Amino acid sequence: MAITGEIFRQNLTELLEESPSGSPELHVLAVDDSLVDRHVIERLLKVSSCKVTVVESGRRALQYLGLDGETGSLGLDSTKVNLIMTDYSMPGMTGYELLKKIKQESSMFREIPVVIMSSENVLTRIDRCLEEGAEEFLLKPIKLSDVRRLKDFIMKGKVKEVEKKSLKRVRSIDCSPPLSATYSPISLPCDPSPSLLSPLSSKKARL
Amino acid sequence: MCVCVSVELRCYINPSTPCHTTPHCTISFAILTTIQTSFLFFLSHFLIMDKIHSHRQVAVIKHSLFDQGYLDEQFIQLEELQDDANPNFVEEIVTLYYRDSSRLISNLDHTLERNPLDFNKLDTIMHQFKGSSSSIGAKKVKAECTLFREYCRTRNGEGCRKSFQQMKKEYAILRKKLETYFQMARQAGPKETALRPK
Repeated sequence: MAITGEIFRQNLTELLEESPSGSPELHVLAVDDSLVDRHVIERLLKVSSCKVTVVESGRRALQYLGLDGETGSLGLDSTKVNLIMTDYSMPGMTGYELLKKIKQESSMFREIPVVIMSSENVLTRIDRCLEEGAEEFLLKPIKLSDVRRLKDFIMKGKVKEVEKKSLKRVRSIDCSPPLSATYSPISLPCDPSPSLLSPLSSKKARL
Repeated sequence: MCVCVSVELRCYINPSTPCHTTPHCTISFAILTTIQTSFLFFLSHFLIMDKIHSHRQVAVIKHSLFDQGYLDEQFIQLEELQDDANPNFVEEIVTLYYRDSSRLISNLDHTLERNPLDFNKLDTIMHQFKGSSSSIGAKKVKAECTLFREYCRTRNGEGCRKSFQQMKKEYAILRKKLETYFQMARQAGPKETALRPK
């Protein structure tokens, strides 16, 4: 049990960065052309104990991720991003275009969940984004509860991913007793969320 | 307090003055101590009441801003993001908003002077302005923005101009009200220290 717990923890910290306090932290890349909105989303995320990087355009976001074709990915661990939140209407590259570019990647960047934010409640727009692979479509102004819900959802996804990985690693080590399905609970820096809302149902509820 | 001290001094300076032993001196001293304590009690009580009164005033102003429709729930959301490390976050955001949106307003002003009017451009600029206004909870300003965009959609130049003027009025009124609110809130100080004994 202790061995599996240790492997679990190792895998989790591989996927998430360590905060100064030592607990794994979600790194969010926020993209918005509005100065006011950038400050608000940054504060929202910081209050929710996330590491935040804020950029003002899709172009800058791709640069940061190392996907703009000019600078290759520097392979720096510090740029490990766990979630991208982008505004829809932006000059130059829209949030939708940014979403498409990320989902077209053949690398692991495609796996990063992308959330679209918009002040306009346009059903066709929402559908289009979700079809293209957006994790969620949030109506602005964004609330703390939106961020909390997102964080729980991402963390749950990470935990499932890590559970799978840990299972594989432990099997290869070939522990003598058969592996039980339950792991010792590891404390994660997020509120325990009982339900996982599907993106569509949450948005429809808001409409 | 000074009276108390002078009584004591008199006792020491003139040793012949019967002081510690006489009941008269002891009683006066006791009375003076009581007065001193009462004074301090009422002073601290007054200060606390003053603080509570100031906080109540701030609450009244805030309540009226919501009552009269100047602010909406988003403003409360922003206040929830404040903490000891960031006690003035809302004021900072509002200041940022007024600074940043002034260029959008002058942009709108210039674009409205053109002939013929470029409604698409007007709508795009107003979309940005509306977004920021919505982010700080500026309810009336946001409503005027919506109206303006509707006039853009129906290509109504006169409607655009009228609603733009109205929007600027609301924008200015809100600024003044928020300035007063923040000033009073700052003067009243942090709530916890006033209302909750440590």
